[in-house]
Amino acid sequence: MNNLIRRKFLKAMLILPVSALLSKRVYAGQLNHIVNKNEAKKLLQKAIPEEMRHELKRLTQARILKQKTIESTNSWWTSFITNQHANEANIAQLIEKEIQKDFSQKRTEFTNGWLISDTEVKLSQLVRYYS
Amino acid sequence: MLIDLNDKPEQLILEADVCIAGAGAAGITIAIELAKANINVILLEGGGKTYTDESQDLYKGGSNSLFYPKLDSSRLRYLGGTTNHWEGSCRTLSKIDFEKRDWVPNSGWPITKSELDPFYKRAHNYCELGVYDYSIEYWEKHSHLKRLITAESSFETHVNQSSPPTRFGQKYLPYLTNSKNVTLVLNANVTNINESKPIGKISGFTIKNHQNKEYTATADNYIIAMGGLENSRILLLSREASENGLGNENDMLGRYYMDHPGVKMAAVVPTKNWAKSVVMGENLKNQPPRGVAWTLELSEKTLREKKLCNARIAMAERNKLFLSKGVESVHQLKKAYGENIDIDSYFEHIENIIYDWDLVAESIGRKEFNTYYSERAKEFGGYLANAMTEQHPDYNNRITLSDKKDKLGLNKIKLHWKVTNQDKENIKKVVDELAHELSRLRLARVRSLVAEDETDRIFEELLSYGYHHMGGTRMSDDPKNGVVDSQLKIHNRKNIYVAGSSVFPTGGHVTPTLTIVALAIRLADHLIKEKGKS
Repeated sequence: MNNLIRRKFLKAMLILPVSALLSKRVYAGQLNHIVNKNEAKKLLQKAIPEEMRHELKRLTQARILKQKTIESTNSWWTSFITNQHANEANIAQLIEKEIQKDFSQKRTEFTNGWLISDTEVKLSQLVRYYS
Repeated sequence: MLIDLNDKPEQLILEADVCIAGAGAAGITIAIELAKANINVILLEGGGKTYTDESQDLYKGGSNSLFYPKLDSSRLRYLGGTTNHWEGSCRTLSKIDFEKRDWVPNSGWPITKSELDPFYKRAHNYCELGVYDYSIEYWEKHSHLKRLITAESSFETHVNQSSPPTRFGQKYLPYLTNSKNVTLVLNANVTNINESKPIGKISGFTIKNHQNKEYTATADNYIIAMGGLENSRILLLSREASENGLGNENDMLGRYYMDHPGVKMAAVVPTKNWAKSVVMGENLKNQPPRGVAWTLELSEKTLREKKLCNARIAMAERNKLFLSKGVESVHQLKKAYGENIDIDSYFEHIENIIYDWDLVAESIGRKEFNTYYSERAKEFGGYLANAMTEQHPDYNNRITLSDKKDKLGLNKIKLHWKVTNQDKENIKKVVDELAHELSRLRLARVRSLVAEDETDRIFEELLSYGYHHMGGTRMSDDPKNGVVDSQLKIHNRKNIYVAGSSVFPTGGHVTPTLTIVALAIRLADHLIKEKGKS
C-alpha cells in the first residue's frame, strides 16, 4: 500500500468513529429542543419504508453533519409536519409527493453515484440521528 | 460472371458502365440495383468468398488510442465485408440527426430524413427486416413488447428490428454470379484510383491480386465502397493528380471520423412500480424481422431544449455482483494506488467495500482462485443502462496514413480518435436526465456510473465501441466542408462516387447498416437516372 492510501486509511479509521460519536452526542441534544424526539421518530418510521430507510442511512453515512445543517433540517421537518397537517395516516403520501416534486424540479444530488432528492437527504439525516 | 484474380489470368479486360470497389453491404446493393436496371457492373472484392489471413492482414493499421479496437478485428475483408460479423440490429436515423443543430458544431446533412425514407423502406428487403415501422405503438400490437415508460416523459421508446443478420456475401452471391450484368472479381485489391491532370475525370482503377500482379478496370463511373476506414485510405493513397489525395483539396479527407462509444452509464434498480409486464425484447419466429427490442431515446423536444447529442439506452439484466458498488470501489482504489492519484471520495469507497464485503470477496475469489461461493452474487441486482451515443464531429478525429506499408506496398492507416470532453459532458447530461426521469416516475433508483471518480475507467477500459466507422469522406453542399456532395459524388470530380458510412456528416445514435444500404440504393437510382439522360 502506498503512503497516500495508508495515510487516508488510518485517518478514516481514527476520525470517522470519533467524529460520529461526538456529533451524535452533541447534536442529538440540540435536536430534542426543536422537535419531540419520539414524535419525530414515529412519523419517520411511517414516512419511510424499512428498505428505503436502510439505503438512505447508508447513502449519507459518510457525511459529517454540521450543526447548521441539523438545525435547518429539523426546522424543515417541524414546519413540514405542521404546515402539511401531517399525521401517521398521511405522512407517507406527503413525503412521497415531496420527493416526486424534488425529482421534477431537480432538487437533487448524486451521492456516491446515487441520485437522491433533497427531501431524502433531509430524511436520511433525521433517520441517522433518531436511530 | 465470377473471376478470381488469384487464378492469375494472363489477359483480362475489365470494362463496364460502372466499376465498384468493395463488395460489402453498400457495394453489393448498388451492383444488384444497377444490374436490375440493365447497367453493366464490375464489382471488385479485395478478399475471396471466405475469410483468409492473407486478405485480412491488409486491414492492419495503428491508432493513437490504447483502447480503440484493432483495425483488423473490427471489420472483415472478404465477400460481404463486415456484414459477415454484424449483429443485425437496425433502425433509421431520426429526423433531427439530419438537421444542422446549433449546439452540435459541424452537424447537418445536405439531405433530410424524408428524402431518405423511401430508400430506407427499400433497404428493409436487402436486410431482411419486417414492416417499415419503428414505433412502439405498432410493435406492442404485433409482438409481446411492452414499454417501461407510459407517462409523459423526456424519454421516448423506439423499436429496433433485427436482421437475421443478412450476410450480404452469402445471401447475394447467387444473384451476382448469375446476373449477365455483373462481373464479380474476387481477390482484386484496388491500389490506386487513376486520375491525371487536370483533375476531374477518373480513368480507371489499378488493381492487384495477392501475388502483386497488376490489372486495370475501366468504366464510365466509379464507386468507392470499401468501408468506413478504407474509403478515406484509398483516396489519400491516390495522389497522381492531387498531391494530398484525391478529393482532398480542402484538407477534409479523413477528417471528422466517428464511432459510437458505448457507455455503461448507470445501474438501474427497479422499484415496485416497474411493471412486471414490461418486455424489452423478443425473438420473432415465423416472420421477419428476426426480433424486436426497444430502447429509450431522448425526445426531439428534450434534445433541443437541453442541447444534447443523440443517445439510445438499452437495459440489460445484471446480477448483484456485476452491479456492486463495493467491487467498483475496489477497482477505483486499485487504479488510484497504481497511478498514485489522490481521490476525494476515499471514505465512500471504503464504506462501499465494507457494505459489499461478500461481493468483493466473491469477485476476488472468482478472479484469483476461480471459486464461487456467494449466493447473493447471483441474485438479480438490477439493470445496466448501456448507451450508444452520438459523437460530436471533431476535426481532429481523423484517418491518416502511416509510414508503415502493407504487403501490396500501400501505406497503412493511422487513426487519431478520442472521446472528446464535449462527448463526455453530453453523456453525463444524458445520465442525469435518465436518473431524474426514472426517479421522478418512481420506476427505479439510479446510480450513475459516470460520476467524477469513475470517469476515467468508464471512458477508457470500460468503454465499448460500435465498430461503426463513420466520417472521413463526409457529405456536404460546400466543398470546403466535406468530400462528397449530396449525390455522393466527390466534389470537383465528374465520375467518382463514395458509398458507405464514411459519407455520414454525423453518426446519430443507431447502427449504420440500414442507412448505408438506403444511401446505396439512392446512389444507384441516381446513376440509373443519369444513364437514362445520356
